Amino acid sequence: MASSTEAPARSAFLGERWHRPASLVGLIGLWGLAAVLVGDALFPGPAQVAGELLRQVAAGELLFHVGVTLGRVAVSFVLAMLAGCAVGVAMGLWPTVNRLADGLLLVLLNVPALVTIILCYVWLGLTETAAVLAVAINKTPMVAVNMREGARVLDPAYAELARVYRFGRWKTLRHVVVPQLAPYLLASTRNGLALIWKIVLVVELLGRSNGVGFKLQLYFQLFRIDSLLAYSIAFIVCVLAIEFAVLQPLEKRISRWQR
Amino acid sequence: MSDLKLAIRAKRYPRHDGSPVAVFDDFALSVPAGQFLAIAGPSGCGKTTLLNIAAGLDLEFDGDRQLGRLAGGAAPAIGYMFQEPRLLPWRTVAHNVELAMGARDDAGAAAQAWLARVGLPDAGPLYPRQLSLGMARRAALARAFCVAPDLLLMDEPFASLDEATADDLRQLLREIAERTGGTILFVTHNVDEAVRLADRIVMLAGQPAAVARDVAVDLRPADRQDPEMVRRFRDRLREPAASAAVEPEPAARAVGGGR
Repeated sequence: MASSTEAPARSAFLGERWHRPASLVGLIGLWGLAAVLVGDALFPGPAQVAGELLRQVAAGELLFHVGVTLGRVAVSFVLAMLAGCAVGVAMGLWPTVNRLADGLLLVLLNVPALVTIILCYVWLGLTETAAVLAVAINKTPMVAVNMREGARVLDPAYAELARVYRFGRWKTLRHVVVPQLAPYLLASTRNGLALIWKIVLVVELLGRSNGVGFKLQLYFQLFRIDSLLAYSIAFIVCVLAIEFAVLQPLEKRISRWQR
Repeated sequence: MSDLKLAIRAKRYPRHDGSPVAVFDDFALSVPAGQFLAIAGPSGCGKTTLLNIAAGLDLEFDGDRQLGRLAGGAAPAIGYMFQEPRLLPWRTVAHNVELAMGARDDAGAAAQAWLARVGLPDAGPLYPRQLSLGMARRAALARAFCVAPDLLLMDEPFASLDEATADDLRQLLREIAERTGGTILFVTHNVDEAVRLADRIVMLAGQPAAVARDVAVDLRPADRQDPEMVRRFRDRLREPAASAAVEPEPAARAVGGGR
């Protein structure tokens, strides 16, 4: 193969691996500068927010509310994945199921999240079940659509292989079906978490008396922007931690055979 | 080992326009236990369909398939070397072989032993995409034999290999087959290959496919290695085959042949 001749490597500004941290530091710097220029209590600077964050962590309150929210994220995520996979795979495998469920899926995909949340609260009361269910119902159709694509491209050649060598149900699922669905599962997980942790906050804001969403509403009403930002940052850090500690290693493991 | 009796009254495929095309019509084939039968014929004449029916993968035909049960009534083990190696790309080579064996305490060691036997002692931890086609075919051969097949089905397993590699693998197949002694159904479009390997050759022709020739290969092992002897035997097969394609010999339909 003819490779294009590489231009002589430019001396990278600061070295490549420092670019991300540098952009973060730059962002905080800009924020600080803007806060000084605005000079208003409603636009607190990074130092003030960091102080508030530490105070809230020390009081134990922040960790409690973040924990509650993460718990809701986890439960509704599991529910949505289970339901979405079951429905999606069934739709991908059996055209009849697909034709029956397709219209419903299309409707559910286009119902605004807020409508589902309000209806759940109205019909089931302001309960934990209603909150978690509302989130799960919002997410399930997206998982189903994704998994339907995955099930449609399952290679029948490998199914034949599993039959000839008598893999049985469990072994076929584990070694033949799931590895083929893995990229779709991972994509669903990624999109799922991104969507769910946003909806969970709305659900908490509308009908719960704990969790990050509840606190955000409280501080909104009190005009305590430093506390509001402290909670937001704590939550964003959690989401990034899940991305780097769970999702990326999982992705690496799943795609190991492709390298 | 098991004997195999196929009696296909009708096997049809839909054409592009939906009209059915008959692949087999009143077709019978009987393979005595322990026989190495090669099935030769032009591509598209239904050889792979025949193997899939023999394997029990294709059940959509009108007719009967009988695979001799083992002493004690156990279902016979089937090994199938598909046209492409068909290794699970997300499992290591060793794991691919191991999976075919089912629940056995020594499956790992047995898989390694089979890999060594087919000339891949170090390929166990590799993923299939790291293998050349020849190596992947060897791994597929190990997988097919590791189940101690009572019936071994092979679909042009040495096609699209360079002649030296194909020859190595033929030699290997012949050696292992002689020692393990199962029934083998070997599909090829290469008549020389059939002459070198098989105890009996069935040539298919026409549409729907019919048996054009059914002959025992009575060459000594040494003669099978001699290109001149192989060529002479092949020519003997071809001469009457031209007329036989038009008017099949009545005897060819009959069960039998072999040793």
